[in-house]
Parts: sequence; structure tokens; C-alpha cells
Amino acid sequence: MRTKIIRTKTALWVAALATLHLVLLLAGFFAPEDPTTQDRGLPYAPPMRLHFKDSAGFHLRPFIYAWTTVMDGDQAGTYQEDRSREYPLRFWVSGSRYKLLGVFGTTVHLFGVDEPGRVLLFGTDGYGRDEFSRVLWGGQISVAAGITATLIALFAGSILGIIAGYYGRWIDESLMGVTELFLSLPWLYFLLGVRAFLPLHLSTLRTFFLLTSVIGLIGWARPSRLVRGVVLSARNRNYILAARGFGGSDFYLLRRHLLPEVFGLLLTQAALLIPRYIAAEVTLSFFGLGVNEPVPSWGNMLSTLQQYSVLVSYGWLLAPAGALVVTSVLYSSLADVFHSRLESHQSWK
Amino acid sequence: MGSNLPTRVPANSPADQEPIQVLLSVQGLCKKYVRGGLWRKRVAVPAVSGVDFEIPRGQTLALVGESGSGKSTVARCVARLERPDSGQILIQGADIAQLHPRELAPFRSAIQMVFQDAVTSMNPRFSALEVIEEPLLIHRGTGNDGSREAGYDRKNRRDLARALMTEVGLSSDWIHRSILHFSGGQRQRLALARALALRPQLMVLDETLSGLDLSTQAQIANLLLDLQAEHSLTYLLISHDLALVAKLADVIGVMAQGRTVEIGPTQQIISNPSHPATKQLLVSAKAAASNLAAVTGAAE
Amino acid sequence: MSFIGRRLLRAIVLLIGVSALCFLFTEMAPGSFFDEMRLNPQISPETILALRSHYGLDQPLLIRYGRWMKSALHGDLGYSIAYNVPVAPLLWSRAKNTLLLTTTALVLTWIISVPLGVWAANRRGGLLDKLVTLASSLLVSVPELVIAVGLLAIAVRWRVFRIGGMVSADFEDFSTWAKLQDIMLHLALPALILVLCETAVIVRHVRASVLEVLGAPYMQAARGFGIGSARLLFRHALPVAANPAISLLGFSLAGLLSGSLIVEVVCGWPGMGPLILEATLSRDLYLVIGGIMFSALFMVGGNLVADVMLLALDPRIRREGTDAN
Repeated sequence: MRTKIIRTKTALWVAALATLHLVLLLAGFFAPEDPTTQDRGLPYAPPMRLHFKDSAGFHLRPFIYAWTTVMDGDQAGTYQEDRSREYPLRFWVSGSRYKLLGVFGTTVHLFGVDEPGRVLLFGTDGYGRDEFSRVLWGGQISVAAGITATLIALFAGSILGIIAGYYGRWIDESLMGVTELFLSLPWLYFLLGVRAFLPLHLSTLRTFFLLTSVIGLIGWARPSRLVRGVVLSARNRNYILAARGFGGSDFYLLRRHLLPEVFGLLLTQAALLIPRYIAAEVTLSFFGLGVNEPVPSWGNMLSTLQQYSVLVSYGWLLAPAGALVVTSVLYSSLADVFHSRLESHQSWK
Repeated sequence: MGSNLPTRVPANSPADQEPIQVLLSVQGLCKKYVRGGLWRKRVAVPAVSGVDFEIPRGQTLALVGESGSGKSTVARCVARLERPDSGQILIQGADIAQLHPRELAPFRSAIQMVFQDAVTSMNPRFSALEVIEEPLLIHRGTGNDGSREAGYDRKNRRDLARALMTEVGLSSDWIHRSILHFSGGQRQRLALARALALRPQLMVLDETLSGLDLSTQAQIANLLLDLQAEHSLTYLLISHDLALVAKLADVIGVMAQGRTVEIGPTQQIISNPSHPATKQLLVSAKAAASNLAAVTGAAE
Repeated sequence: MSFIGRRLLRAIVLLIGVSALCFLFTEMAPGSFFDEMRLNPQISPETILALRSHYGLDQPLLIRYGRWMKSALHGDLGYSIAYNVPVAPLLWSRAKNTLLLTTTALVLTWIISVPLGVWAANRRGGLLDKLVTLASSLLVSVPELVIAVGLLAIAVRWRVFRIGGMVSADFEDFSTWAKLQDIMLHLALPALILVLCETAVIVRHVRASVLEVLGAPYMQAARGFGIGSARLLFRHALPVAANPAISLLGFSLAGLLSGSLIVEVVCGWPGMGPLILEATLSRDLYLVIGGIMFSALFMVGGNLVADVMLLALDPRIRREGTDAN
């Protein structure tokens, strides 16, 4: 019964995460605009409200009003809805050109409004760029960075952990010494240190790989310790001994008995590490050490908030933070479910 | 003393006087374990320091002694789960004591070990079929001293597993059941089925009957005797329970502090112990038996 | 060698290892501080060469490392190229502020987490327990940067704390008491952010280890003897749960140091964080290495303190220390 509950919970969180990733993967489709198109005439515009009712009555199809700047004498202008024209929300529109999945060129977007209107669900930033679109495109970069870094860390960590745990003795001791070295530094200091010694200004693709490699290569230490622990305890189990008694080779033992044990652990680790590494990329980009303008990432989008005036007056620019929280919470919940699943597997009746 | 255990026919009764062939001969076995690594001082703990015995084909030799006497180490060395530091282990005319794992391959099918704790000697994620067929899968690649079984493909393995399960007294319908669902005694039977899969000549039974309740013990002991008769198996039985051993073994070897201190036919050891360690074991066994009698009120 | 002696040796080896790692990285660095300068046509290549040899950057790696090591042992950590002052005093002046922030946060975290964790474990399934579990799970999932920026936004909006730097503009005019107050008010926001993040992590561990102890057979036996609940908790459960909790000290210190970097930059607290960041951005070699060494020093020092506390509190370790050798 308990396993059934755990299974449905897993399915739930996996589904939620899968939806999130799908939306981010197809960011170009779900975003109404291009993330880099500027509109200096519309800086720091607040999010638009979707209306369903007008003087004519209730409409099923929501619509928006454009923002106009209203001058108040000498004061700086404020935004007000221009009720002179309604822009109904249209679906499956043709908009700016982008590459779906980086390969297929297309202009189809999920929703949009007629020209010259713009649908700004999350408002705009200082350069008049649509925040909603930027959150989606930025999410692509940040989440992809997190996932890639996690894969690197887990791959390197498990190979080294398996070797250390299986062959033991001096290999194990020296490897554990090295991991202790890596773990003895606060991760951010270490990250900055490594980043400091690498080129600052690179092409976006190169920066991305650099970033993920750095984060992943620092992060291998803890997974390798855990994997080594699992392998070490499993290695001395009698069923391993028995299999060796039948003549099983090292490779057979690793593949048939140890790998399944490690796999469960790796899954939980992945769910824990991905949000952490996404946060690492966001932090680095926030500091200007990661992905740079004009490519959006949740990190560099948040760095504008370092000015107090922006932070206070234009709260909608915290949208990337919200997206980051949602992503992290989803992954954390998944990790919790994986963890309880792992525990139930290990208990004999 | 455990009256529902079967009794043995003494092996050297005039009825079956055949030329006795020795299957296993162990001489001068030594092994020590080293603790410590890079940072700590290395400490060598001698587990076995000179063990000699022989087991004729088809018979049972029991090694008894207190915990720490080195019995389990001897068992592991004989089954070549560990490599002894020195000494000889002769089986089928060859000394396997110092052989390299690859050279050991043909002998793997001849010697099989059954562990005390059936629970930990099987991967909890496996089903009964997977447990039994594992030795078949591993051995498929390596030569089997000339007599290869007709290729172990999936159907063969399943049929063989079914047959083995029936032979050890388990229902062959349970072949796909997870081993988590088997009881303690059933798991021990499963372990025996697995050990039989490669048609071994020598079975090393490391405390196989310890930790079972008395009636299960009796059943498994019966099973062991049946299997031995059926397949002409030779047993090396490790135990600390002298009473149990008396019913199953032809020869008893007593171990203390890593050495064999006394070896002889069962009757002789029990009625005429010479070494103090043997006497101590007998005393404990008798004490346990009289306790049982006092509790149950039965006559000894 | 005694337990402490072994730990000390380990710490020293660790520090040497960290410094070696740093220098190894610099060797792999495809760029340096002078890259920007090289692009400037007004600065001649000879000047750059002269500057390089002035800072000893033209020597082979081992010599550089050896010289650095030698001077480091005397307390000289090299020169900051960007600030043009010696690294060590510069770092130390900032490190004091980071220490103030980190230690305050550490103490507060533990003062809050331990009773909270114990209480929650004691009344398992109760309202407080559920609240604590939920809140900590949520906080743990949210990245530190987000919490920092979020709390800053709230603080700026509601004008609750004094924000920006460590002291107000007219600090010098304050009386001693007012000076203290001023610093504390500026410390409040960064410390709060750190405490929030760390408490969420620590409370979960404390709760888990107390739960584990409470469920142990000997505890149930004690309860069977009729020993009262409070006495059970404090005299029996807590000392046992203390061991894993103190091991956490080193672990939480790592998190606090990393967190403090973020918090200092976001809130403008003049600690090591903003300094290291600037050094990274300007490729100020010796400053970066010095900063990493300082943080390693803190970590190692903190772990040693934790080990000493463990030694004092757990008799098992004292015994093990004498047996093994």
C-alpha cells in the first residue's frame, strides 16, 4: 500500500516537472516575443491584466489594453491603460522568427495579439523587453546549465566512487583525501576561485560549457563519496562473495549487483543537485561571471535588481526568482519522494 | 539431544568397504588479516595458523570450535573466496591454494559454499529464478572440466531451476517470486538449490543450520542427508553446535585459536575427547541439552 | 598521536593541498590580469613585462609556489595588483567583518535550531512539528540568492532595517553605545537572511537525529522504568543526539561562508565577499588565492573547534583515540 502511494506521488511530481521542462524546451513557442527585441519607448512597464468584461459584456476570449505613458506636468510619466483599443488574445499566431529546439525555423507562437500591440504578461524590463518571454528563454539556459552540470558531476563522481569503493585500500584512501580537499572549501568561494582563472568574455556557447563544467567538476566530490559508501558496503555483502565464488568477474559483479544499487542513489542525487546547480548558475550570472547580456538567464535578469530603486519600484522583475522557486520546490519534492522510495526498497520484511 | 534429528550409519561399517578416495586434502593452511591503511598502523591478526585435514569422497567432516577459532576462515579459503597465505588445498589432484582467479574457473563448479545467513547471501532484489540461475549464467563462459552441460539457454535454465527447487522441497511455481517473500527455512533451501546448480562435488556448509528453529533445522538436516546420498556429495560442515554435528558428521575436527587440535571419527571424539578445547565444547553441549530436558521435562 | 594531534595534522595537510590546487589552477589559466592592459595601445609591452616580473609572474610555477608558501608562513600573502596594497592586511580588515557576520549567524542559528528541532521531535506529528517540517522544507528548496533578494526587497519597502554597508554616513559622530547599535542594526538584515537559510537545514538534521535517539530501545526501556519525559529528553536523549549535531557544525560552517558571500554582496556588507568578487572580476591573482586560503582557514578552524567539542562531549571518541594506537 505504501509503495502505491509513493508511486502516485512520484508520478505527480514527475509530470509537473516534465510539463515545466517541456514549456522551457519549447520556449520560443510559448513565448509571445523575442527575448532580445528592445522597445525603448516602453521601459519598466507593469504586467498587463487580462480582461474578460467590457462595455459590450462578457467575452470568453480575454483581451488586453496597451500601455500609454501619461505625463503629469514635470513629473515622470506613469503608465495607464489605453482603453481606446482592445487587443483580443489570439492563439497560434504568427510572430517573430525563432528556431524550435534550435533546429526548425518557424514563426508560430502559442498566443499573441495583433500589431502594434504587445501582450506583456510579466511587464517589461529597463530596455522594454518582454519579461515573460525572457523568463522562458532564460529558463532554458539556467535549467539546461543545471542539468548538464549535474550530469557531469554524477558521471565523474560515480565512476570515481565505484573505483574507490570497489578496489579499496590505497586507491580509496587517496580518493577520499582528494574529496575531502574539495569538500573542505565553501562551494561558492571555490566556484569563484576556479572561475577567476578562466577567461571572462567568451561566446555564449563557450561560456555555457565552461560554466557547466566548472560547476560539475567541483560538485563531483559529494556524489563520489556517497557512491563509494554504497559500493563499499555492498562489496562485502555475502551475495557478492557468493557470486565471486561462482567465478563472477569484477565487471560482472559491478554490472549485475552494484550498479542497480548505485542507480537508485544517483536518481535521488540528481533530484537534489539539479536545483542546486541551477542556483549556482543563477548566482554566477547574477555576479556577472556567467551568461552575459544580451542572452537572458535568470541570473543576469535578477542582477538589475541590485539597484534598490529598481528593486522597490518594479517588483515584477522578480519573476525569474519566482520561476526559480517553483523549479526548486518541484525538484525538492521529487527528491523527497525518491528518498522514501529508496528507503522502502532496502528494508527486508 | 534433539531427538528428531536423523542418525547416521557409521561410515566404516563392514557392509560398504570400498577403497576410500580422498576428495579434499588440506595441509598447513595459514591466513592472517591485516587491519589499518595509510594513516594507521598496520596490525596483523592471525586467523588460521596451521590446519590439516582430509575428507574422503561422500563423507562429512565437521569443523567445530568456539567463535574466533578460525573455522569460517578455513571454509572461505577452501571455497577460495579468500586466498590463504600458505598451505595446500588439494582437490581433484590439484592444489588450488594459490591459483589465480582465472585459473580457478574450472574448479568453481566443483566446490560450492552455502552461507549461514541465507538472507544476506542473496541479492534482495532477485527472484528465486535469478538466484538459482546466477551460477549458470556466470559459468556459461568458462570451461567446466570437460563436461559442458547442453548450453544454458533461457529455457534450460528455467527447467533446471524448477527441478532444483522441487528437489530441495520448494514449490516450483514460486520460481518468479521475489525472495523477500520466502521464510527463513525456505531461503536456506533456495541457497542449497543454488549451490547444487553446477553439480558440485564438495559443499562447504558454513553454519548453515545455525539460527534456524529446531524443527526447520531437522528438516534441512534431513534434506542435506538426502542430497548427499542422491548426488554423492562431500560436505565440509562448519558449526559451533556439537550436538547437531554429532548427528551429521562422519569425522569431527576441533579447532581452537586457528589450529586443528583434535581430529577423529565422531564416536571417538564424543566419547573420548583428549584436548581440553574438545572437552569444553562437550561440557557446553551437555549443559544445553540438560537445560532443554529440564524445561521440557523429558528424559535425556 | 592523540586525536587532536591527528586532526591538526590533517588540517595542515588540507591547507597545503588547497594552496597547491589554487596554484595549479593559475597555471591552467589562459588569461591573466594583464590581458586588459595588453589591449591598451598606450601601454608598451615592456611596461607589461616589467610589471609582470615586479609581481613575480614570469617565474615558473614551482618557484612562484615556493616563494608564496615561504612568505605565507610569515603572514605575507603577496600583493594585490588592482588595489596596489599587500593582500594580507586587506583581507584581514574585511575578514573581521565576515567573521562578525558569520559567527553571529552561526550562534543564532544554533540557538534557534536546536531547541526547535528537539521540541518538534519530542511532539512528533503535533502542530509545531508539522509547521517546522513544512517551513524548513520550503526554505531549503529556495536558493539563497532568492531569499536574500526577496528579503532585501521587503526590507527596503518597509524600511525596517538599516540597509547598505556596515555603518551609517555619520558613524563617526556617534557615541560608543550608538556606534554599537548602528552596527547591530546594519548587521540585522544580512544575519537574518543567513539564519533563515541555515536554520532550515540544521533544524531538519537535529529533528531527525533526536527522533532516531528517541526511538531507540534503551529509550523505550527508560520510559518503561518510569523516568519522566523531561529528564529523559535532557539527560538521556540530548547527549546522544549531540554527536551528529556537532558534526554538523563543520558542515553548516561551509554553507554559512558561501551564503555570507552572497548576502554580503546583495546587502552591501563590507566583508570578504564583495572583495573576492571584485578580485575575480579583475583577475587579481594573489587576492583571489588569499581569499580562498582565508575561507579554507575558517573552514578548517571551525571543523577543529567542532572536533574539540566532540572530544569533550563524547566519551566514545576519547576511548577510540587511545585504543587505535
